[in-house]
Amino acid sequence: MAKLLETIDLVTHFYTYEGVVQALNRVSLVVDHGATFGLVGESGCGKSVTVRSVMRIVPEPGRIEEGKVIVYLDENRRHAGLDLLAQSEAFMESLRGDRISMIFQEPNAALNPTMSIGDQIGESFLFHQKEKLYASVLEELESRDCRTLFPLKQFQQAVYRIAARQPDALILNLLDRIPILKHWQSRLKKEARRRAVEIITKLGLSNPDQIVDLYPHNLSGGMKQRIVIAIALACSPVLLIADEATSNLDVTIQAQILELLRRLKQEEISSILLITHDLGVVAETCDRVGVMYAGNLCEVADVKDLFQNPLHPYTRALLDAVPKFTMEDDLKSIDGHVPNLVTPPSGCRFHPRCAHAMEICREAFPEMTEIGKNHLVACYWAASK
Amino acid sequence: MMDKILELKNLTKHYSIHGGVLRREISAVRALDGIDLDIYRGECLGVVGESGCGKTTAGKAIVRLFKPTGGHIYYYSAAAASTATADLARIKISRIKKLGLRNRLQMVFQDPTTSLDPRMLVKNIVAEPIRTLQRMSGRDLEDRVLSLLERVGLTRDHLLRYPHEFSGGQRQRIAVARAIATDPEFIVLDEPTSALDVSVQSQILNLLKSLQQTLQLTYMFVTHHLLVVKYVSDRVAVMYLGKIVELADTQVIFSRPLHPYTHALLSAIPIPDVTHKQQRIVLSGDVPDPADPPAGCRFHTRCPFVTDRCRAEEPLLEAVESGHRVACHRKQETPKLVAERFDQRRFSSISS
Repeated sequence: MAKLLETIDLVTHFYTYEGVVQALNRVSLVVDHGATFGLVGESGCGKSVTVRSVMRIVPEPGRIEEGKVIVYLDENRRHAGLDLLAQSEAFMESLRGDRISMIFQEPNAALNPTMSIGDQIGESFLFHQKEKLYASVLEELESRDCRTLFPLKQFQQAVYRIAARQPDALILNLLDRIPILKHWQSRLKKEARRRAVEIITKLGLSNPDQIVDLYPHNLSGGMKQRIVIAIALACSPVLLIADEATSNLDVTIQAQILELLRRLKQEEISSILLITHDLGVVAETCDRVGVMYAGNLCEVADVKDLFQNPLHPYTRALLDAVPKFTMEDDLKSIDGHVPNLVTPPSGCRFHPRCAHAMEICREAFPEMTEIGKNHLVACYWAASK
Repeated sequence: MMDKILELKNLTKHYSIHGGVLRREISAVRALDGIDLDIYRGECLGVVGESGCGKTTAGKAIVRLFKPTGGHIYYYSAAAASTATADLARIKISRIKKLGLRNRLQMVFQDPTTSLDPRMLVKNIVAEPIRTLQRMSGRDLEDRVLSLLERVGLTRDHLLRYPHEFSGGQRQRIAVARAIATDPEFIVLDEPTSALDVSVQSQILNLLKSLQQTLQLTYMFVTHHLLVVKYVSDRVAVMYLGKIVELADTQVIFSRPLHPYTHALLSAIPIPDVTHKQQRIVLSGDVPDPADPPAGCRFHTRCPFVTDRCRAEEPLLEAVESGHRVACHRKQETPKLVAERFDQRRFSSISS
């Protein structure tokens, strides 16, 4: 399968008062076109930092130190990758929410409480697809059904003709400053709202016409998360990053959202990068899984392979620690706790908790090696077997 | 085993909503709307349901963190001297303290970061209930605190630290130590592991299980995570919108559930296993507003097998067999209906 996103030796550090937190230690992963890639691990293992580094929205005091994030967005020129870390901030702004978009964990924090739902979804059309909106408004104005009064119609047609030809024309900027004339934009907003209704309908929410005028506090948790998904999908992205999109929801609502994501993946988006700590969600939705521990990617495999034949000791321990449906004996737990990343253990970061730790694990960090088909592991013990 | 420790009779809690010019009560959120439940000594009763179904309210009512609107909570103490049963729902708070009931009923809260005072040392957090309820002090108290910390897997080094210096799992251990400080016989565990990671979650669950055996505790385990309930509890009560809809032994709930809501909940759990994929019962819509619950069966707005009778008449929690009670009009036919509509292989494979 063709690659869509590739990170090569990504290193991100956070400069805190306690010292330098080495949050990512050379993470290399590949997301293919048409695949759902799951990233699992405990909290603080660097899952979120990985995707935030990809989107270049690492919060202060974090900094991406080295590495590459390469995206292959162009369908025709598959081999011409684009290194996101070398691009300008303006380019990233045009990319975020358009070709690559993200769903955040907490819908309450992701939505603006002072804007109506329709405005929030429409915002992404107004930001990324202004040209398309201008064109469709112009088309509507020039069609015969348009019944605007004589001088107003001519004026609007003239303005939208300019806008469609030259979106950043000086005259538009001028018009926006003149009190009555700036209402030329109302048609544009109406069009954005119409598209917002369209996308809400597609996500299976009832009464979309009413929902666009509501505010986030009027909606329940599951509905809010759908709105966040609607905003992310507004510009039909190629890659959707879902950062713990269902963690705060009830199981029945979580089932609805996962079902929705699965349906959308078939119809709309090509790939999903799903971050979660719930191995059950991974087993049910993902094609390929990466397991992270303390800033390292320790195992990458196809989902069946990973659950039936886990190779890394951490993956095994993690799978044993989850309560299962058919289970008789006691749950196993991993002794010790996640290391402080200011002073991570030398060598393999898992060795203090690992039952199979060898001498070499303390000294050198294991490289990712391919064991079996498409099954990558960073572990000396697994590689030596 | 069949020795009751608590008996809830028609327990009700309404939170009133005030409105209008005079701020009079205009309606009420029916958080708990008449639940009947017996809790037996030495068992772990799991209470599951979605958020807002009243499971936490039930737990808090039992330890009397607030006064229930109606109903009774009869408490049968293990101590032979106080044979008189106390009705926790009616008794005065001062009386509860005088009878020493606070010693016997304890609670562990969901989020250890908010349930532990950030300005108190661990030593004082654990000592506080002993100091106020049992009047112990000095060297005895310190030894007691140390033994409690050791019991939950912490050491002497942790005595003089503040909660923020601990990881989430260790904080929850401190909260557990505080709960067992006064030798309780009944503990309400309100989502004790939902703020924790899986590897830490298993540590805490194993700790709780071993404590239950060594200290002969009775648990009421409130959670939304069904697989956790399956692991720890002996019996499960499924709640929906302030009512218990199904109550049975854990094995029975997971192999032969009868209420459609239980079926939907079970099928909604993502299972960390790739071998058996099953079709999900995806419930449409959200939980209705508890201030204005639907007439008839409360689940009828989301139930895939709804009939006219469900819309009109509220089903009672009736026994199907001994120890298995269901509130559903179509309880006899549900397994067949679910099998027809959704082809649930998972249940049949386990029960066979």
